[in-house]
Amino acid sequence: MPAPELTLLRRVHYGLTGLPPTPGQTREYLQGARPGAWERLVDRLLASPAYGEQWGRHWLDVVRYADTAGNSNDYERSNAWRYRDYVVRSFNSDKPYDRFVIEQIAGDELRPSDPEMLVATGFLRMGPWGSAMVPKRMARQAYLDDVVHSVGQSFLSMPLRCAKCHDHKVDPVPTRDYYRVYAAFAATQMAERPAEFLPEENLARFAVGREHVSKLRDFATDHKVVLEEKVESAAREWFAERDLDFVPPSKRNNLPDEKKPPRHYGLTTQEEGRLKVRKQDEWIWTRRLERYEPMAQTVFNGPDYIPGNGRKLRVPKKMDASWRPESTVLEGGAVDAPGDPVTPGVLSATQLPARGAAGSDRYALPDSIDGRRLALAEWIVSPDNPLTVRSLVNRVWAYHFGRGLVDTPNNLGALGTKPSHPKLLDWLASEFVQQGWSIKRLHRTILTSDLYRQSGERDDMEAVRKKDPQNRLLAYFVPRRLAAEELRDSMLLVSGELNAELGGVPAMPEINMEVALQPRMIQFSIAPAYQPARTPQERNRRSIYAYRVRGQADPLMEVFNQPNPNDSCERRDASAVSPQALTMLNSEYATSRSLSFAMRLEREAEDLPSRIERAYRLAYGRAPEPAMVGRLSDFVRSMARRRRDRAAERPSYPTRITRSLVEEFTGEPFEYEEWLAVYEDYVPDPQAWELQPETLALADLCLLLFNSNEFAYVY
Amino acid sequence: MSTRIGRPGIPADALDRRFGRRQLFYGLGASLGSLAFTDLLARDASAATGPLAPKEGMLPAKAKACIFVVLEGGPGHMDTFDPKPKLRNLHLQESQRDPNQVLVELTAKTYYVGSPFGFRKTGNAGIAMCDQFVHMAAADVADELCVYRGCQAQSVNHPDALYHLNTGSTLGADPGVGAWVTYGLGSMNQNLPGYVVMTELAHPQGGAGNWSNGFLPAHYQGTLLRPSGSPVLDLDPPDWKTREEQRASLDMLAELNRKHAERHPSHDELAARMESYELAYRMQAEVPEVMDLGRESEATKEAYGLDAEPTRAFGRQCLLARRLVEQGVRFVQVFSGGWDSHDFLERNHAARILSVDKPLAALIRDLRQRGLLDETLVICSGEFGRTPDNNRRGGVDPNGRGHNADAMAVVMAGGGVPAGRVVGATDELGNRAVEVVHPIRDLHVTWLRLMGLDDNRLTYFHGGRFKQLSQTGGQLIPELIA
Repeated sequence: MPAPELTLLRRVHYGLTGLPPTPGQTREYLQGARPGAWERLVDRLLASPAYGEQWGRHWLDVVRYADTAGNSNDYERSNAWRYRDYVVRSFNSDKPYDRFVIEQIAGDELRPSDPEMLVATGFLRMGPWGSAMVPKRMARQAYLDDVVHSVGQSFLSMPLRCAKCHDHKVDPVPTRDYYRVYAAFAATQMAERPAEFLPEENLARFAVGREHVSKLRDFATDHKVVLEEKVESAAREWFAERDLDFVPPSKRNNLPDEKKPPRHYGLTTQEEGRLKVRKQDEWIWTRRLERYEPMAQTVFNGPDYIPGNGRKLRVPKKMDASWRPESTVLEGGAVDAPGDPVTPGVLSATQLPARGAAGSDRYALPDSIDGRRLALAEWIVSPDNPLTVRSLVNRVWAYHFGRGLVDTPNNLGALGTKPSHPKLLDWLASEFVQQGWSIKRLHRTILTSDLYRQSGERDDMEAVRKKDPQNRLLAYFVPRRLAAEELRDSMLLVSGELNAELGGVPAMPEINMEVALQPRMIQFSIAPAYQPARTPQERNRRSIYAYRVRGQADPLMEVFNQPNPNDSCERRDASAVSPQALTMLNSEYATSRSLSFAMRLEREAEDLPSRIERAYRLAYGRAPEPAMVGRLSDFVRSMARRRRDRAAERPSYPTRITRSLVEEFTGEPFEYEEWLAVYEDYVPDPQAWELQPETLALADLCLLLFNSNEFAYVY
Repeated sequence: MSTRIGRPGIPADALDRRFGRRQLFYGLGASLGSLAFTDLLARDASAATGPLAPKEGMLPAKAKACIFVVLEGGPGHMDTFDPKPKLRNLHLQESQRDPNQVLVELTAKTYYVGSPFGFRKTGNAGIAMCDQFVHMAAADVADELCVYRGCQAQSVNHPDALYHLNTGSTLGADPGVGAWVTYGLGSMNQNLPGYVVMTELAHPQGGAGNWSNGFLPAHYQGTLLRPSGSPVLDLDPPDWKTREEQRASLDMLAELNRKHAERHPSHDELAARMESYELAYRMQAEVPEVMDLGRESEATKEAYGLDAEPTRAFGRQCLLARRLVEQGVRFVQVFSGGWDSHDFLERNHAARILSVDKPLAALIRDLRQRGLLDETLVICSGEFGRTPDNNRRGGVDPNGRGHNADAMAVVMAGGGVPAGRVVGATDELGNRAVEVVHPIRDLHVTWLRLMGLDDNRLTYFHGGRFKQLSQTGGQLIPELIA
C-alpha cells in the first residue's frame, strides 16, 4: 500500500535534506505534472545543498566528528571544520565513493600539493586522543589502535579492535592481520599542516570570529602581564637585597637556587593560581585563532613524533631520512610485548590480494615510508572487496529505512546480524559499482522503488506483525522520530529564523546557560566558558555547523540522542524520555523558536484562524481540520486572557563570572574572573518581555506544534 | 486481561495496543523468554497504570529498591576490604606474574606494592577493612556489611569494564541493571523516574551508556539528577508561564496527539512519547520536593557529612538516594569518581575513602533507622580491582596499582544479603579470586534474585533472540543470599 502523497513528500524531504518541505515546496510538488513528479522531486532534493548537510551528518556520525580532541585536555582541533565541510561538499558533488574513501585514508599521498587532500585526510584525526599522563609510546599506540579500528569500522564495517589482543574469536581476523594493517599506519603522524583555503570554502565569518577570539586572548594576556610584572619587580628587589646583579627571567634557568628568586616570587597564593589560569587561557585563545589560519588537521609520514604534551602537533623541521618503522605483533595488545615481526598488509580473510603485492605474500602492502596508506585504500575500494561496497550500500539503506539490510551497519562480520535480504544487498552493491560508485544514483534506485513509498499502515497489520514482529521483511514503512539536528533545524526553518549559509568555522548557537557556564575541568585549570555568537543570524545556523566539544555536549542535542562523538554511531537512538519533554516545553531554545514562530504568523496572516492555518502548513505541511481551528482558537484566546495581567521579566546576561579553583601545588583555593565578552553587546533572540499577551498566547500554540508527535515523527 | 483505564494524555486503546503487541510473541513457543513475557504481562495487567507501574516480583524477595554506588576507576581491594599482609613484606620486590593471567595489564617489569594502609577487624563479625575507614568500621555499620571477594570482571579498560558492571556487556549498548530492574518491577512512585542516576560534575567514562535503556523501551532509561543548578535541566517553565497554563497546554497537546494517533494507529511509540510528557509534568512538582534537603534535620545532614568539604558532595548524593528510595524510586545509582590510583595510592585512595566513608555509613544507619535497610539492597563496587604490583612510572618507584579484572571487592548491605559476612577470597597477594569465584554476570543474577527477579525470565526480544542481563544466563551465588 503506497503512502499518501503528502506523507511521502515529507518523508523524502527529511530523508534527503533533514528539513521539512516548505508550504511553497509542497504546493509546487502537488501541482507538478504527473507522471514523473516524484523522480523530479528526488532529483531536486539531491541537488539541494541541504542534501550534503544531511548526508554529511550521517558520515560524521560514523567517523566521530568533533572540534576538540577529548581526553583530559580536550584541546581544540581548530581546523577540523574544514574536514566537515569537505565531507558536505563531497556528498553534494556526488564524489564517487571510492575516491571519497581514498582521499580520507591517503589524500596526502595521492595529491601531496592539493590542500583539499590534506583536509580530507583529516579523517585520520577524528578519534579522541590525548597524551596527558600517558607514556608517549602508549599514546602513539592508542592513536594507531584507534585509526586501525576506525578504518575497519567506517569503510569495511569490520571493527578490528577485537583482533588487537587475540585472534578474533568469531570473524576470521587473526592478530597478525590486525598488526599488518597497523603497520600500514606505522609512519602516519598527526599534525596541523599548512593548507591554503579553497575558493569554495566559507571564510565569511573570519573577521568577526577573529575579533572575538583576539579580545579574549588579549584579556588573558593583559592579566598575565600584570602578574608577571609583579613577579619581576619583586625579583628586582630580591636581587637588590642580596646585592646581586639583576638577571632577566630568560637567563635564570641554569642558575643555582640560591642565586635566583623562587618561582612566582612576590605573588600571593591567589595570584599564583591566577597566573597559571591566565597563561593557560592565553594559550587556549591563541590556539583558537588558528581557526582562521590556512591549516588542516591532518597527518604526515615520518618517524614517531609526539612533541611536548601533544597540544601542538607540527611537522618537525628535521626528520631522520633513514628511519624505517619496525612493526611487530604486540602480544596481548601490550606495547611493551613485541612479538613476531610483521610487514604492512591487508586482511587475508577476504581472499582479496593487495594490488601489486610482490612475491608469495599476496596480501603485502609496500613497505616504503610513503604509499602504505594509499595502497591500503586502493585495496579497500577494489570492486572485488566483499566488504566495502556492501558496507556503504547497507548504510544508505539503513538511513532510509531505519534499519539496514544488515541491522548493524558498523559490523557486517559474524557478530553483526545476518542480512535480511542477502540477494538484494548483493544486487545493490553490484549496481553501485556499475554506476560508478555514485551515492546519488543509489539514492535514486532506492527512493524510486515501491518499497520506499510504502505506507506505515496496513489493513492487515495485526496478521503481518504476528508473522514478522520485527518487520524484517519490510511489509510497511517504519516511522522515525526526528534526529536531534533535524528537530532543531526544523524549528528554525518553521519559525523563519534558519540561516541556511553553508560551511565555515564552527557556529556558536545558544546552549543551555547553566551548561555553558558550568565549570569544566581540563588538566590544570577550568576550560573557558562557552560563549554563543553575538547575533541571531550567526547562531541560527544548521546544527551540523555547531561547535562540537567532546567534553561539553549541547544538552538540547544530547537529550534527543545525538551520539557521543567518542564512539562511532551507526544508527541514532530515538528513545522518548521525560527530559526531552522538559527541553521542548521549557528550554530557552524552544521558547525562543515559539516566539519567533508566533511573530512570523502575525506578520504573514491577518486573523487568528488564518494564523492557525498558516502554522499548520508551516509545521505540518497540511491544512488543519476545520474543527481544530476552532479548538485552537479557543485555546489561544484563553491563554491570552490568562496572560493579560502578567509581564515577563527582562533577562540579564552576565558579562563577568567568578570562578574558583584549588591551586595544585599549594592546595589552596583561589578565585579569578572570567570575561564573557559576547554579552557586552549581545543581540538576543525575541524575548517574552517585549511581546503582547496575544503574541505570547500564539507562541503557546506554536510551542504545542513543535512538541506534537506529528512534528516530531516522519512517516 | 485487557485494561481500559484512561489516563490523561493516553487514549485507553493505546494501552491495549501495547498489550496486543506483546501477545504477538506467544507464537514463539514455550521458551523461557516467552514465559517471561506471559509473566510480565500477567503482572502488568493487574496494575492500573503505565509502563512504570509497580509489578510484583517473580519470586519472593526482600529487596524492593536498590542503591548502587559505583566507585569509578577501580578501588584497590587490597587497600580497602581485602588485606594482604604478605604484600607488605614483598614491597618493591620484582613481582612474579602468573603467565596464564591475561586479564591484568601486561607491562614491563613490575614490582609489588604493599598497601600503605593498616588493617583491622571490625565489629562483632570481624570484617577486615583498612584503617582509613572509620565510620564504616563502627560495629553497627560493619556488622551490616557483606563483603564479596570472589568476583571477577572481564575487561581492564575503564569504559568497557564500567559498561560490563553497569549493563552486563562491555560494549555499552545494553540496558543498565537499573533499566532491567525497573522493566521487571516498575517503580513505586509514578511521579518520579523509576531509575535515577547521580554523577559528579563530570560524567564517568563511557557516559550515558552506563545508564542507558539499551534495547528496552525508553521508559527504563536512567534519569540524571544534576549535582548543581536545576537538578533536571529545564525543569521549570519560563517565569511568565504558570503551572496551570502548562497543564492547559499539555491537555491541548494531548488532544493534538490523540487526533494524530487516530491516523497512525499502528505505532505505539507515539503513546510512549505522550506518557513522557505526563511524567515530565509530574516530575516538575515532585523533583524539587525530593531534592529539598531543608526538610532534613541538622543531625541527619551532619551524619552524612554535609557540613564538611571532603564529604559534602557524596554525602548529598547518599542523602538524596535515601530520600528517593523513601519516595518509592526503584533504583538509584551514584557514581563516585577518582579511584584510578596508578600513582600516589596513599594520598589518592585516602582522599577518596575519606569522601565516602562517613556518607556510606550514614546511609546504612539511616536506612536501618527508617526500617528501609531490609528492603533496600545497597551495593558498592568498582568496575574492577587493582593489581598487587605495578611498573615504575616516570622513573620512580611504583606507588600505585594497575587494573585487575581477576579480583575485586564488592561490598553490599541490606536487601537480603547476609550481614556481617565475608564471602569468597583472593589469593595471598590479591592477584585473583580463588574461592567462591564468579563472573560479574553471576553477581547480576544474584542481585536480580534479591530483588525478586529471575534473570532467565526477565528477558526482552531483540536482535533475533531473547536478551537478558547476564547475556547468556548465569548462576546464582547462594552465599550472597541470607
